[in-house]
Amino acid sequence: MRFDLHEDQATFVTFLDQMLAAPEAGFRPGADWNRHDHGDALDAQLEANGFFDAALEPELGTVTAALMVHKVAQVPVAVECAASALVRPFLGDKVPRPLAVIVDDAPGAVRFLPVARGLVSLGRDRVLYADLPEGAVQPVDSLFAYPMGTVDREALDWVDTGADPAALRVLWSVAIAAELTGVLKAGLESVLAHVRDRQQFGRPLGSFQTIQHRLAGAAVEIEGARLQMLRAAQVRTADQAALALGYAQGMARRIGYDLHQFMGAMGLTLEHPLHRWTYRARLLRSDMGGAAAAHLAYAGGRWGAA
Amino acid sequence: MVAELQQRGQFADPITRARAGEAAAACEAARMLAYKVVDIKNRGQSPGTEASMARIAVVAADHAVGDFGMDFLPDTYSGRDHDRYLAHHERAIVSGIASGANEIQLDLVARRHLDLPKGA
Repeated sequence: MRFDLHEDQATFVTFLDQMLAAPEAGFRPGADWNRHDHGDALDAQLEANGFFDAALEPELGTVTAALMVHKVAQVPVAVECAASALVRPFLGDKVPRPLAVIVDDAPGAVRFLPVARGLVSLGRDRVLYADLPEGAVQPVDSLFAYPMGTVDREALDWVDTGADPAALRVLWSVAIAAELTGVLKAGLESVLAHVRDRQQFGRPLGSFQTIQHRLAGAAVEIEGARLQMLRAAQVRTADQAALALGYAQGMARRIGYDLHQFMGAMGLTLEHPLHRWTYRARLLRSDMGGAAAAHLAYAGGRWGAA
Repeated sequence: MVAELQQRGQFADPITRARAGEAAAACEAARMLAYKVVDIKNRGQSPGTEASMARIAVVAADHAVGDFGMDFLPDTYSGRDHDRYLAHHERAIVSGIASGANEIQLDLVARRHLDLPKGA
């Protein structure tokens, strides 16, 4: 098992990191104090340079694509990367992006739908795709830090992509785990910067052992989840994907609580970017049924029936 | 433990099955972090705080597995019919104490990996 990046992956990550460090990917309060800020410039740059096609490049593959999803999730602006990097390359005929994804026809608003050009429906037996005609999507206000929207699904012109539904479900599980570990890592980094500087009781908040231990525990769990996610991206089995997703979703609630607790009142405002990550994590942790569903899926694959 | 539950016909409950999956995920996280240390050593480098991170994850995994047994196979911790469960439970308790308690590992990660300031 190899943990460091090979030369092609390292080059890819170097260029990606340069794009993610650009000012247009940074934090600025959203228009009308929206909870999200769509990263149009970053999205266009990633697409123009072919980054969303990494999964199909023999020297890069799904591990690099998953790492990209993990990294793009760490910037304050929201960019639809998970579906474009890990689902779209395997849909056969080239479909447009950005993409929104629904699983098992789960009801309600869908993340990235207002900016998406197509909708993918992952079912147990089929993977369907529909273009999103102009005006079909209704944007909705949401607590979550994504552009959220609804669409009359029955009115869409669905086509069967012919893609393997089990394989796509594995890739989408990896994609969610990659994005979730990314937003939690970014939230942690944000809180670490705060507690290193913020003085209380005559000393930095981050010097208190109770804060240190909980943040250290979070760092260990996030890294454990990141490594599991990359492993799942490499082997692409249902069991490994369920393990990775369940672990990431399981830790998200507790870590999310701690991040806001240690950021204090600043974390409650839209002037600080913490919510950009924690209110993505709060949606991602319930995707595909949440941690319990992922643990159950693993149990079924690993140990079979009762 | 899962095999024991299956033999008893007690592995159908989704709560039991999900908890088994949760414990397995904790083990996998610990395995990845431990292998990362081995990989660093194998490349001739010093693992630094990665070793502490692996220790913390191993302790969490040990307790996830031990607690799973305690919760769903409580009878096996009395008598001598399931010595390996008893042995695992005893090791799980020790794993967070011996060779630098878990709290020392957390201190090391906080100070050296997260660059948090020293306390008073």
